Amino acid sequence: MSLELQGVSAGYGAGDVLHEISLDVRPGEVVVILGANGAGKTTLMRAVSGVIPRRGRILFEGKDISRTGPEQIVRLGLAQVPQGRGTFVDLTVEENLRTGALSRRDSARVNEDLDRWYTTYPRLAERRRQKAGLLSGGEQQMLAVSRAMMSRPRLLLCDEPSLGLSPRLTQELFASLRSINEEWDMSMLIVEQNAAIALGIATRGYLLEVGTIARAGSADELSDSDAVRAAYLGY
Amino acid sequence: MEFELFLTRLVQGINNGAIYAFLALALVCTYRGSKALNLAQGELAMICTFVSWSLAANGVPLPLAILGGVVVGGLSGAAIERTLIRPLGRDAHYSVLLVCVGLFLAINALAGFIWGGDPQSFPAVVPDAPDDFVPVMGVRLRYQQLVILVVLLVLVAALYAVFRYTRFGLSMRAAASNPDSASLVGVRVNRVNAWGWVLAGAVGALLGPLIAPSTTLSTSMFFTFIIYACAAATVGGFDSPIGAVIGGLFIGVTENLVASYVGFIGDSLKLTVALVILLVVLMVKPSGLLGTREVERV
Repeated sequence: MSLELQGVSAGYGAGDVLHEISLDVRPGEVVVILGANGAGKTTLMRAVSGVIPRRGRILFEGKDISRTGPEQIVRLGLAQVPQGRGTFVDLTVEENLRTGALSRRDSARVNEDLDRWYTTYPRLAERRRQKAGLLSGGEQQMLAVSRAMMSRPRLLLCDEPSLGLSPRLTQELFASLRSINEEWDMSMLIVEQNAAIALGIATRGYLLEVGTIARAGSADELSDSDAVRAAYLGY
Repeated sequence: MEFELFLTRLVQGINNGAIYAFLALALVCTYRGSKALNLAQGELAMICTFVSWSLAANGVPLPLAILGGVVVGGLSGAAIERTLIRPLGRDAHYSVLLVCVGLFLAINALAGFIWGGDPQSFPAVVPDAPDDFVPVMGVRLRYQQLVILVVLLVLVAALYAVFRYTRFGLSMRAAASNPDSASLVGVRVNRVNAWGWVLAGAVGALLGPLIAPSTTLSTSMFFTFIIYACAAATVGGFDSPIGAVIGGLFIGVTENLVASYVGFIGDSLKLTVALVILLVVLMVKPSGLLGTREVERV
């Protein structure tokens, strides 16, 4: 198992946002978590990556990380693309990418990886010396994905990657997430409001409603389910 | 003759500006990470200078005594960050400012308690008799002042290189730019910010012994310098080491020339000139000449 949550609760100060969540991601799978605004999707991501305190068990490749901080979790091989991209706006594009490799020890191979992501996203290569804050939303999202990948993770968390992107850019982004999954055999956990496009690349999915898992199933099952259709697919 | 006088005044301005810049550099080191304006920076430098003085007075060779003060400065910086600043959390700007004001008074009182209120003379690292200067185009460049300028330039170049070209520098800049993202890529943000305080404490502790031979060593030696340093950092941009140096030199030169050539200002209104510069910069370019403007895409 790549990631396993057993009865995880978390929140901010007063009261929990997540209640006893259990879910798992198998190696090589793309698992999507659907949910409306306020369902607790981002809280779930932050709980897994260690940014907020949480209770219950979170196992990454069998190791309990529920008391581990984010700086350590990324070193174990779990990287997150944060909501809103988390760009270092006053650093250059290349420096942003290099921060992704700060958790690594093999600095010699960092340049190789850098070239690899420049090849994948040529627009980042063209703008490598520019301040990252000047990039468009779509470019910043590519940057966030490549930055997370620069840590050479074995599990990638993506928090609402389509946020603020045009439909065409969203298509492109998910296509590139799919190819990362295929090329690198990368396990992924994606939180997304855009159910149609997310289910398109997912193996399985969970439906999150007010902090609990309301439904789980394969991507096809979820696409066919009336509840998901009515609430998230709009037909 | 006129021109020589002008040059002399220019050099005086640069000498004063170098001191402002030096202290501003220390302010920048803490501000970048913790977003804390450490008003006690000057007092910390002062008490470290007393430490160096005591070491030297007890027979420790001067360079080693200064090094001792610098080490104490760095350690104090780390201790202050760990015990007084970090527990307040990342966004407690006003609480941090108040803690720094308290620290200002506490350190000042402590120094008075240990070393008494009398000013002491401090030995110079290079010969500092009236005839120890290099004449350039009729202007006297004193050894001691040249040392301050050279140390300042070396320091800022070193800081720039560390920030720009090392992994540690990249971690520092990432932590300053976006702490949440920084911890997600593995930067230990608290530790990096603590290093900012270590650097600041050490830089201040190095400045003290360099100026003490001319200002004399006393608990009030940094009172006006800290105001100038704040102005310099504001002019240059609070998160830019090079900006701090440019800001410091700019203020030093401008106030000296204005005070020399504008009759009614003279020496008594010098600080006002610095404050006017500060005000103009705040109105025209609030982030400072080289500072990072806070931009956010929504």
